[in-house]
Amino acid sequence: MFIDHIRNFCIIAHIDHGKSTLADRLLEATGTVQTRDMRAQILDGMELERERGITIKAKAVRMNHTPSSGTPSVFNLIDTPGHVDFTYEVSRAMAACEGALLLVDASQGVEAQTLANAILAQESGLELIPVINKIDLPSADIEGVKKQIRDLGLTGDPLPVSAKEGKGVKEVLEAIALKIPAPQGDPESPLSALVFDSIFDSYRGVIIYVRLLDGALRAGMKVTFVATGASYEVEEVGHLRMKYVKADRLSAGEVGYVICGIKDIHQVKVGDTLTESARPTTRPHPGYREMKPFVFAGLYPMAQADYVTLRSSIEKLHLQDSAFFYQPETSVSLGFGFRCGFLGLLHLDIIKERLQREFKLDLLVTAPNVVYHVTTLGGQKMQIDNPAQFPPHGDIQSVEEPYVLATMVLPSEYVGAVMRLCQDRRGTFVDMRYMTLTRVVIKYEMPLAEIIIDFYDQLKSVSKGYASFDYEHVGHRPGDLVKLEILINNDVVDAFSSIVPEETSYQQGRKMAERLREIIPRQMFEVPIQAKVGSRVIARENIRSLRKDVLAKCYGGDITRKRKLLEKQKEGKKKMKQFGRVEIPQEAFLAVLKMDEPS
Amino acid sequence: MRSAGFYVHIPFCRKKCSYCDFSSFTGDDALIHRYLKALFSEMQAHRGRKVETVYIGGGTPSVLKDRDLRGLFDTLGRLLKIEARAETSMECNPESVTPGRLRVLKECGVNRLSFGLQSADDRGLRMLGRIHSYGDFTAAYRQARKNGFDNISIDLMYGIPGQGLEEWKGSLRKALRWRPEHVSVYALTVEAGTEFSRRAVSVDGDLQADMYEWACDYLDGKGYRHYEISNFAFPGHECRHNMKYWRREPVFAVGLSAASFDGKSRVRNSSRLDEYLRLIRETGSAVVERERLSGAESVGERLMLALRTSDGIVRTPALWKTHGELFERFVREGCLIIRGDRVRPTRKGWLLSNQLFQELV
Repeated sequence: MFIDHIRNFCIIAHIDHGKSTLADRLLEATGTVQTRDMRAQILDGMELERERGITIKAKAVRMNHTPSSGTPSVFNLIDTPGHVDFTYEVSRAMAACEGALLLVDASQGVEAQTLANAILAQESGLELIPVINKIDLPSADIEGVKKQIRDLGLTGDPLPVSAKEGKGVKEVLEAIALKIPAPQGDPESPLSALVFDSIFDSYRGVIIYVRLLDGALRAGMKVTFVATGASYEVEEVGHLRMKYVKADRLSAGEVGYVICGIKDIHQVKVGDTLTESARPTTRPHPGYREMKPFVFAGLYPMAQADYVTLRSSIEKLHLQDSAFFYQPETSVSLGFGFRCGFLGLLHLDIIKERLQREFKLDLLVTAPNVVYHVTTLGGQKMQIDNPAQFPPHGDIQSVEEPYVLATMVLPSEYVGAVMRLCQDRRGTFVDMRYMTLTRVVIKYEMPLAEIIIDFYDQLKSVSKGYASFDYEHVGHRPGDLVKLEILINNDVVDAFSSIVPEETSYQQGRKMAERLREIIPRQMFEVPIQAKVGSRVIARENIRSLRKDVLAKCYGGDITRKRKLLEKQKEGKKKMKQFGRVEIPQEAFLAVLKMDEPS
Repeated sequence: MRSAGFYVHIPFCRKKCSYCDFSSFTGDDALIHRYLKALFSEMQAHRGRKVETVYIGGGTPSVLKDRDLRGLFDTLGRLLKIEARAETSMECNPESVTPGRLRVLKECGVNRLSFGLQSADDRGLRMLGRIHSYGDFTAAYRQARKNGFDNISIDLMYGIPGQGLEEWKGSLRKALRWRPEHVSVYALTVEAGTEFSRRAVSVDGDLQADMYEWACDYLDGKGYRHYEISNFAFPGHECRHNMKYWRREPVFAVGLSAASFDGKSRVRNSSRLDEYLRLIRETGSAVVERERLSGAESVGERLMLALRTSDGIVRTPALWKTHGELFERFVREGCLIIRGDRVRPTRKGWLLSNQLFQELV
């Protein structure tokens, strides 16, 4: 395969603009998948992805296509996640490509993630091909969307497509061949291969997805990871079709997989460069950085006996997801578990669900929080990723919390509601711009802590679902923050501690105590719940003691049935965590997330 | 071997009550006769069995005609070896008790009547979907005494929709004026599939707890011994048949959905009438569920059943080794009390008994 006939591209789009459906059509049109094997959104292989209609992991597939020029070509489609939490995964996928299809829904128009991804792609130097999808919809506004795309600074006439009906797909393939540049690279140079994804296979070890920038990869080669320094012998290389297809070699410009029998899952860092041990590259991929998680939460097994399983499951997931951070921690109230770092709330949710589904673990997740920079009176600087470790109020000189620049795109009639929401969340207005007469881009600087907890739901709610949202991190800023502690049955439950602005601590404490009173079931004795800031109790609620839990009748015919009923009741209890004498259900730990819901 | 208990289920009622989730049917004469025929055929398997308690329950056994009742007791008498001092109970609904019917029962050897009164005020009775009035009950009760029945139980229900604590007190006081030897008080439970569940009736657990506690005190003051969660009796009048269930002694049972326990296994008959009739006709047995408990399960069940009674359990070193920590926790919560060599439930323990029992099963 000549390097000139390779096209490496990705599809970038706002969520629900039809990325996976277009990918399906390209796979069909190139004969990569037979129509009879086709199922909707074939690249979204994970059950979770199909259910949620999102792509979690970047994946790649190689297609053969002969465009009208008559030269048989190879198209490598690298699928990218479509959620703001996964910007890093998107950037890695982009780094492996020379071009991108920028897909915009003909009725929705340019949205916040379209903006963010288009900028990211332009910064990565990708050739962008704008595509307008869903032109079959009655509400399609092709001309309007064309104008919005022009406003992004993109030239060239967007291709009209209906991925659902398969219209315009040929033209898309043609444009990929014509407009996206072939990769550059020298197959004779020392090997330089970008690791853009990896998965763990229990039989074969780590399967590494690479894009070769220079050189070639063959079985038997001795290779080294530039960032980690670890060396291995290549066992197998191949192409990513809908399955792994073994090949003799991969060379510059190509996308494929490498297996080196790596069992230690920490040795492969996504973003790292693979090179030949004997002839290391002088041109490693520059984009490598250790991922920095922004949102933290505690993950604990419901049953302490599952700790070891949780640890190995977390290790396995960590392999597939370099952005996911973890370290063991011990909580006074929850026992042994892990403090985990995530890119955002969706990312947290996905990791939790995957642990529960794929590893059949029953988990307790504490309320998420951000990383605070604290300077003590003694001048000591600390990074706090767990509210329980927040120093006492009297020891603190200053606290800084992370901020983001939030970008929201919405119809103009919701501007007032969205601005009120941002203000309520301690936002500072930055900019407002009309994209068209009725579409507005609003920017606010906001504490990250304010958006990781149900901000997106609220935004959707105040804009009847029309506002889209994206954000970027802008560093730490000072804040008047205090630790809010919750006492249950007179003991501090560290897992309930949170960091809140001092001025709203009273309301938050009261709400939290009320919430917990509703969620925690009555026990055999009265349970006081208190909210405390420093040494000051700011709210108190009581869970009245349970009076009656009895089966009035139990005679001959009932005994088996009653026993089963009791067994079921007992099963329900396993979903609770024991704190001293008090049993607390899992959802209580996320109570803080639902503080804005009417109670 | 000690004599067993024997239970006969009569699944017919003139009308289904709003709270009832038992297998019961209104049933015409022809169906009742087919059922009795099947019942007699099922009883053949128990020929020669020694029994010391017989219990005819339902449904409403008193809907059976005199002739059918005689037939039933004849068959029982012929097949079983019923001890001379046996307790023979029958459940009766006030509306179906006539002087003639009572004489027949007496002749058949019934020596204990259990009246399903449920409430001593007519509004409560209507709410429950009962078809008798309080007046029907007083008439039936007087007749029963007149006919020499000296062991009578009445069932009462508390937490009926619309019933406050005062109404309950009134109902219990009124019923107790008749000085029955035995009283069962049950909290209304809304079971799935019942009329109450369709109407989304809810119960107030705290109010029911108040009602229960008041009833316990009141009955105690009237000389009744609180011998099981829901059962009270003058000393010596505890229901011997039901005690067998709680002591985990063998009780054999015939009829629709009837459950037997032979000391090791529990078996249960079909609760679908057509299936019951067919299985009996074709195989002589209608057992559709069989359960043999493991050692640990048996222990748990035994403890759970025994702790329903005021006798509680004997505190043996072996038991304490396996369950001591659990029991001591409940002692600390005030749910159990240790007296001498026994562990007994407290009133609070009874009210919260599921909290303990779920740890035992």
